[in-house]
Amino acid sequence: MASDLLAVKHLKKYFPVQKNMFFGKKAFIHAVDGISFAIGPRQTIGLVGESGCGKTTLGRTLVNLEKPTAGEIYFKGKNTADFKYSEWYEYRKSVQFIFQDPYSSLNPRKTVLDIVTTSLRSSNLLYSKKKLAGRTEELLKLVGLSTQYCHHYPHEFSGGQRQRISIARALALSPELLICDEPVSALDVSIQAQVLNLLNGLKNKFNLSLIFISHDLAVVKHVSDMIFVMYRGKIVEKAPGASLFAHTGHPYSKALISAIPEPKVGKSKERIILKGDVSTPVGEMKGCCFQDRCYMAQKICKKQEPPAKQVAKEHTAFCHFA
Amino acid sequence: MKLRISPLTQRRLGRFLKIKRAFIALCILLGLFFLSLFSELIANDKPLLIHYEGKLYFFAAYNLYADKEFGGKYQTEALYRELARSERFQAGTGNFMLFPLIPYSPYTSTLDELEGTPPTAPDAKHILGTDDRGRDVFARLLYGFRISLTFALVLLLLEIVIGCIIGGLQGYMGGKFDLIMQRFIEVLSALPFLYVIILIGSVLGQSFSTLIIIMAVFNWIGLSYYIRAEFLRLKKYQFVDAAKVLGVKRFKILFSEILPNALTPIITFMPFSLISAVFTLTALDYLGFGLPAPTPSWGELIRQGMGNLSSYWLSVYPFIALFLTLLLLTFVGEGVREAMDPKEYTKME
Amino acid sequence: MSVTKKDLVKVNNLSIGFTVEEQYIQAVDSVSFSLGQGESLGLVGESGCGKSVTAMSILKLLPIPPGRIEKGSIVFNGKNILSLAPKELYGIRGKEIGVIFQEPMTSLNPVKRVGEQVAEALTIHLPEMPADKVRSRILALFKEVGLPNQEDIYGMYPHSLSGGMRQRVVIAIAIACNPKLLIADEPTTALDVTIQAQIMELIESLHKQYNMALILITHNMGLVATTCDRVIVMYAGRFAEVAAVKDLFKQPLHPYTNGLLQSIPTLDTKGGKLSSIKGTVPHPSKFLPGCRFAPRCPDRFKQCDQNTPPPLKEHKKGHWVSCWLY
Repeated sequence: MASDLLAVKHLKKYFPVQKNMFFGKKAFIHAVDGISFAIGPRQTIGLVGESGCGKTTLGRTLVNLEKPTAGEIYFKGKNTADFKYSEWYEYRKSVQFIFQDPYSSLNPRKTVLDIVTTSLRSSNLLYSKKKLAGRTEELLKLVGLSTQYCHHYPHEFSGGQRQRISIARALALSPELLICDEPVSALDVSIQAQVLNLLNGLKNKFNLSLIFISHDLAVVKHVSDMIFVMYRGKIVEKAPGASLFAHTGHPYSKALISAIPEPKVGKSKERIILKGDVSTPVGEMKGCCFQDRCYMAQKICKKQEPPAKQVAKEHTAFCHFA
Repeated sequence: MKLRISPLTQRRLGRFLKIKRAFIALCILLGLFFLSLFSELIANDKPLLIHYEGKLYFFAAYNLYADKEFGGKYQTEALYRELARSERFQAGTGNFMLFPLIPYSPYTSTLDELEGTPPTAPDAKHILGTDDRGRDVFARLLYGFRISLTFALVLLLLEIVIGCIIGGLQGYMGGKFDLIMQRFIEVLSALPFLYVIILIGSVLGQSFSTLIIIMAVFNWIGLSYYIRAEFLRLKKYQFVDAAKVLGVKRFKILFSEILPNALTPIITFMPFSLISAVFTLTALDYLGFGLPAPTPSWGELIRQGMGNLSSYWLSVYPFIALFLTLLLLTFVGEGVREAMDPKEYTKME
Repeated sequence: MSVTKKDLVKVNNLSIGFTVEEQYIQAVDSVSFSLGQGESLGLVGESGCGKSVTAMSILKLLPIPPGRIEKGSIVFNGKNILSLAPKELYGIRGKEIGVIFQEPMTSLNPVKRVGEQVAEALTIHLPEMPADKVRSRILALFKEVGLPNQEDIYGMYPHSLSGGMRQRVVIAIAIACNPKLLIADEPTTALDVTIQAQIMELIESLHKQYNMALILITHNMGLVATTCDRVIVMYAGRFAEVAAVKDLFKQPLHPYTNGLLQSIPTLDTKGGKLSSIKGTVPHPSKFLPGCRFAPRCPDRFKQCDQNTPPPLKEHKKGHWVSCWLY
C-alpha cells in the first residue's frame, strides 16, 4: 500500500540466550514474533502489553536500534533493507523516537541547546550558531518551555520538563512519525496529563502519525485511534479504541481491562485475576501464545495457532473463541 | 556565547575549594611549578643584568651574548663567571653583573672556587652544599623538580589520550575487539617493565623522549580499565540510543556524547598518576636507567648520597623534596576524590 | 480526628527534614493522623511528597542523619516510638509492623535462599521456635501468599523467581509474625498490570483475614479506591485532604485532589484534552510561604500566597481538608 507511511510485514526479532553454560542448544527469546501492521499519515496506533511482551523491542526495531531477525519494514512503499545512505538519512528525519526514561535519555553533560539541536548538528546541512539558537527557541516554545532555559543542564529540570525537552529534540527535524516508548510512565500523575495533552496538540498541529507504546491501557485508549494488544511478541487483538472495550475479543484483553484499578468507588466490575506470570518467550510455542494463563483454554489452544477472527468493523482478535 | 560551567561541575569545584588542605596544596604545587618554569632566573650562572662599558645587557639566560661583545676573542657565548672575575671587566668603571639568587646553574662545576674537595657541606655560598662534581645541590633540586613534574605531566597526557581511545573503544564496541585488546593488555602488563627500559635504553640510548614513550606504553593500562568500565556502563544509557536515532555518527557518539560523562575517573586518577610518575622517575634515576647523565634529577642525587654516606645533604635534601612533592600531590588527590564523591554518613537505628 | 475504634497508630504534629547537599529540606511538615486497628489507610501523593517518609517514621526507619525529626510524636500500640531504645525498636519492626517494599528485586538478599530469608524474619522474633516448626510455618506461609510448590520455592534463590513471586515472598516475610500493622510502600509499582491485580487481591485478603491494619502508600488513585477505607492525600510534605474513600472520590474538596482525579485518563474518558494541573511539583528547597499548592491552584486567592493553609478542618463528618476555601 503506497499510502501507508510505514508498513511492517512479518517482523521478527529474536535475541539469543544460552540455556546451559557449556552445552545445550542455543535458544532464542522471541521478543517480536511475526508482527504485521501498517500506519498511515495522521494515524495513532497504541501498542499495549505487559513488560516483556516485545512492545519496546518492536519500537526500537522500527528506528533501527535493533536489526530485525526476519521480516520487512516498508517506509513510504520502499523496503528499508534496500536503503542507501541518503535514504537512511531521510528515514531518520521522518521517524523519530521518544524514550521512556526522561532521566537517562538526556545527556547530563550537555545544555538544552546542544541536546535539542543534536540532529541538526549531525545532519548534512550546516547551521550557523544563530540559526541553531533560533530553532531551539522555536522548539522550546512549541513544547511549552521558557526560552530562557537554552543554556541549562538537564538535571535542573523536573521529569515532566525533561520529557518536553526530549519531545523538542525529536521534533527538531520535523518528523512525520513519532514513536513514543512509554513517554509518561516515569512521570507523576499530575504531569502525565500535561505531556499527553502536549503530544496530542503537536500531533494535530503537525499532522504527525504516532505509535504510542504503553502498559497503561487507559492512557493508550486516550490517545490512540487503533489499539494493538501484544502478548509474548505477538499481536493478540487489533481494534479501534472504542471497539476494544465494547466488544473485547481476546481473553487477555479482557483480563487486562479488568485489572486496571479505576479511581472510582462503588462501581464493582468483574475482576479477572489471571493465574501465573508473564513468561519469557523462549523458543517456539505450539498453539496459542496465551494458552498457559488463559482461563478459557481448551485442547485446541495447545495445538493450533488461533486464526484472525473478525469481531467487529476493523476489529480482529487472535483467539479460537472470539 | 558565554562559557557556562555545568552546575554539577560548579558544585564539585566548590566542594574542592572548601577542602582547605587540598586547595592549599594545589596552590603551593602550582606556584612552585610556575616558579620552576623560570628556574633560569633563580639559579643560573648567567647574570640577569650586565653593565659593560656604559651598555646594559639583560637576561643572559635567554639572550645569547658573544664573548666578543665584552672584549673577548670568541664568537661563542661569554663565560660570565670567568668574565666577572677577569681583569678587563673589573678595570672598567661602573661595570657590574647582577647574578640570580643562586649564581650557579645545575651544570656549573665550581671546582675552582670550592674550598676542599666536593661534595662540600652546606655553607653560605652553597646553601644545600655541592655534589661530588662540585655542582650546587639547590640548583639541581630546583631543576630536578621542574623535570620531574614536566615528565609526569607529559606522561599523564599521553596516558589519558591512549587510555581513553583504547579503553573507550573497548567499552563501546565490546565483542571481539574488547576480547583481543584485553588479551593484548594482559601480554603487555606481563612484560617486565624495568627490563624493557634497560633494553631499549641501551639500544636507542637514554633520553627524555624514549623514557616517556616507553613508560606511556605501559602506564595507559590502568586508566583504560576505568574508561572501559565507564563506557560499558554509559553505552546502555538511553541518551546514547537517542543519539543513534538522531543520526549522530559513531565516533561523535563516542567522544562527544559518552566521553564527557566518563571524565570523573580520569580526574580522580590524575593526581595519583602524577605521584606514581614522579616516584618512578626518581627510582629509575636512582638505578641509573632514567634520564641521561648530566640531567639534574633527584634520583641521581640520592644515588650520589649512597656513594658518599658521610655527606648527608646529598640524600636528605632530595629525599625531603621528594617527600614534600608527593605529600602535596596526595593531598590534592584526596581532595579531588572527596569533591567528586562526597560521602554522607548515615546511621539507622 | 475521632476514630471510634482503638487507635493503633497515632501520629501527632510530626515534622521531618533532611539535609541534602548542605541544604535543609523539610520533607514532612506538621502532620497528624491516626489509624485504628484493622483499618486500611491509603497514603497518596506524587513522588517526593513525603508519603514514604511519613509511613516509615512509624518504624523510625529513617536515615538519621541526614534526616532529622524536628518535632512531634508517634505512638504505636501505646508505645512512644521516638523515645524507644534501638533494641525495643527491633522488637517492633518485623514483629508488630510488617513492611512490603516497592522493589521486590532489591528487598530480598540475592545470595540467600528465599526460605532462609523468611526463616530469619521468623526466628529473630521467635528464637525459641524449633527448627522443624519454623519450616512448616514457612511452608504454610508460602501457601497462604499463593506460591505454588512451596517445598521447591523454599530452596530457591530470588533471581530464579519472577517479580510477582518475589513480591509474594516479601509479603510472606512481612506477615511472618502476624503483625498488627502492614505497611505497603508502592507494592505493585514495579509489577505488571495483571500481576498487580494478583498482588493487590492477596494484600486485601490478608488484611481482612488477619484484621491487620494496612497503610498503602501509592501514587495510584485507582488502587486506593479499590483497597482502602480512608485516604490521606499529601502534597509537598503536608496533608491536603483526609477522608473516607467513598467521600473523597464522590466529592473531592481540595483543588489538588480534584485536579489529580480529573487528570487521570480512565477507560470512560473520551479522547481529546485531559484537564491537567499546570506547573510542576516544587522542589522542597523552593517551597514558598503560604500554601505550597498555590502556584498551581486554579482557585487560589490572595490568602493562599500569604498564609500557610489552616490545619485540617472537618468539613463534613470524617472529611477533613486543609485549604483556605473551606
